[in-house]
Amino acid sequence: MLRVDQVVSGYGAIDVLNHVTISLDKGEIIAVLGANGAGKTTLLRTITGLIRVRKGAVTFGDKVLNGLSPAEVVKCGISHVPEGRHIFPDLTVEENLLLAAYIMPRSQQKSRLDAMYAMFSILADRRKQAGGTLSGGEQQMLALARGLMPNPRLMLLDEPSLGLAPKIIGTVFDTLAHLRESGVSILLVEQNAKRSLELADRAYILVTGQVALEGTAHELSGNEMVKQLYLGGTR
Amino acid sequence: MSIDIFLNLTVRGLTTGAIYALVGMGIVLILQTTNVMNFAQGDTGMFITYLAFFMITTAKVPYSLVLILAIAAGAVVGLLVERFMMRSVRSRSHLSLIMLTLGLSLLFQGLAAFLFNTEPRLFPPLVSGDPIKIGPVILGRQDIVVLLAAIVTFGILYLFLYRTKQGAAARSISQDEYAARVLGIPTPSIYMLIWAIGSAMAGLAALLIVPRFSLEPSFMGLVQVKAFTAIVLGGMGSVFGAAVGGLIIGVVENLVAYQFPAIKDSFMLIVIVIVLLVLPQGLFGKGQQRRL
Ligand SMILES: Nc1ncnc2c1ncn2[C@@H]1O[C@H](COP(=O)(O)OP(=O)(O)OP(=O)(O)O)[C@@H](O)[C@H]1O
Ligand SMILES: [Mg+2]
Repeated sequence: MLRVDQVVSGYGAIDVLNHVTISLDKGEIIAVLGANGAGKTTLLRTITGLIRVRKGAVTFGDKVLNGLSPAEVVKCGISHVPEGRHIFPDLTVEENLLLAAYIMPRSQQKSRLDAMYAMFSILADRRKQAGGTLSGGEQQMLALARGLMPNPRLMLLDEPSLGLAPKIIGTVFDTLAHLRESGVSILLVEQNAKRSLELADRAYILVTGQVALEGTAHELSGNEMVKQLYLGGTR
Repeated sequence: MSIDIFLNLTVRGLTTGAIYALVGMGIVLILQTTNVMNFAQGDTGMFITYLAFFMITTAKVPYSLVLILAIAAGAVVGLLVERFMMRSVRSRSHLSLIMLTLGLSLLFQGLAAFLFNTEPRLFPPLVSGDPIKIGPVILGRQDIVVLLAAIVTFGILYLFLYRTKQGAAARSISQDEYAARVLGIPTPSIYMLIWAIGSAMAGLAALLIVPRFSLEPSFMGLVQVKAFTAIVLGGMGSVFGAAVGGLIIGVVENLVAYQFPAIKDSFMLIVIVIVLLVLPQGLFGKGQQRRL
């Protein structure tokens, strides 16, 4: 469904991604793992049109995404939950959600909003509260709900467990598992390699802007290098 | 100063302040949403007033239509400025955007001088007739129009920001532009819309105040300085602050002008300095954050 084919992209004079190729089938959860600065966030930004594809191609279904604006990419059915959550602090929970479905007609926005409140009851309780006053865990739930608002076929998630307590991390990963059931494909960028490999079908290891390793989550969990570098060494 | 004089000065000051508020609200709207301090706000209004003058004198457009046409012209000017000047520079440096607005200001002055020549002209008020007496206060008809226009504009702006999705998008951009883009909000069209609204407000303000001066390329200069004082006082970050700041500046200025006519204009600089020293966040500011 999603193909990133030999993609080069970066900032200013610097190429961060160097001929990255990844693919994702409908209904799959893919994990992209890598150290700080490996280019994981850059990969997501490139897919959603926040930065330009310099070489190669990004396709979704039979649609070429190269050169589309982020708004157009959302219309194609891809949503992006950014690293660090980026909740609008002075807007209410409800306004945060509605803005994530900006392109939708009013009636559809309303039904998506109800669906989100049904799924995340803490958000329903806080719908008139300013986003900035939510706890970290609640903000992450809001960020996930914002990602779901446009009813995407594919969600890109950038470190959804970052800075959360273990219990909340559990909730986040449960939510992701639940999303798979409902047919949303997921591209998950994570530092938390253990949990991501438990959840994902396949995974890619990104090292300095290149795919160093790829395989099923099961294969990678057993790989010595992955164990050493990302699973905290199990010797 | 008798109480009657005081009341008259205050109310008359409010009408002047309403103009500063209109100019200031436009500046804050553009600043908060697009992160550009528009030093051309005053001269955008000046240029639109020339267009209105042209409509009245040469094109013989009926007076009642001119206000609407001028506001529309302001919106179009704003659209064009965003689309063909600001947008291409946006991704580069922030400073160059601000320099660009200074350039724009000169461009409007040059255009006005070139197209209409610099000779001062009398611009008749939109409404004429005898002043109206309300209790001890005597108010010109144009002044009443000014007050009403400011209130209506403030109301429309509030409804736009808090009741429409484009308004919500503008507020979201003012808080976190990156997040807005990530969520797929079409930020370029919001920028264009905000420039259109801001410039239309500049046109309205200039058109309403020009009868007090004469129409010439520099007539909005001092008004803009005072609008800037108003937003410093209001706290830079809030449209509401700009409105209140404008009204306060208008009243204080009028009272000062009555007692010490010589320092009427330089007084504003003193106000800026005092506010920045004593109340750097202004009356309604929340520090450096971008707020609407
Ligand atoms: N906006 C930017 N401008 C310039 N360089 C950037 C920008 N964002 C990231 N970079 C650079 O691109 C490289 C990859 O960054 P990226 O954010 O994609 O890494 P990451 O894998 O997401 O890291 P982390 O795990 O820390 O989030 C880094 O060297 C970083 O310094
Ligand atoms: Mg990152």
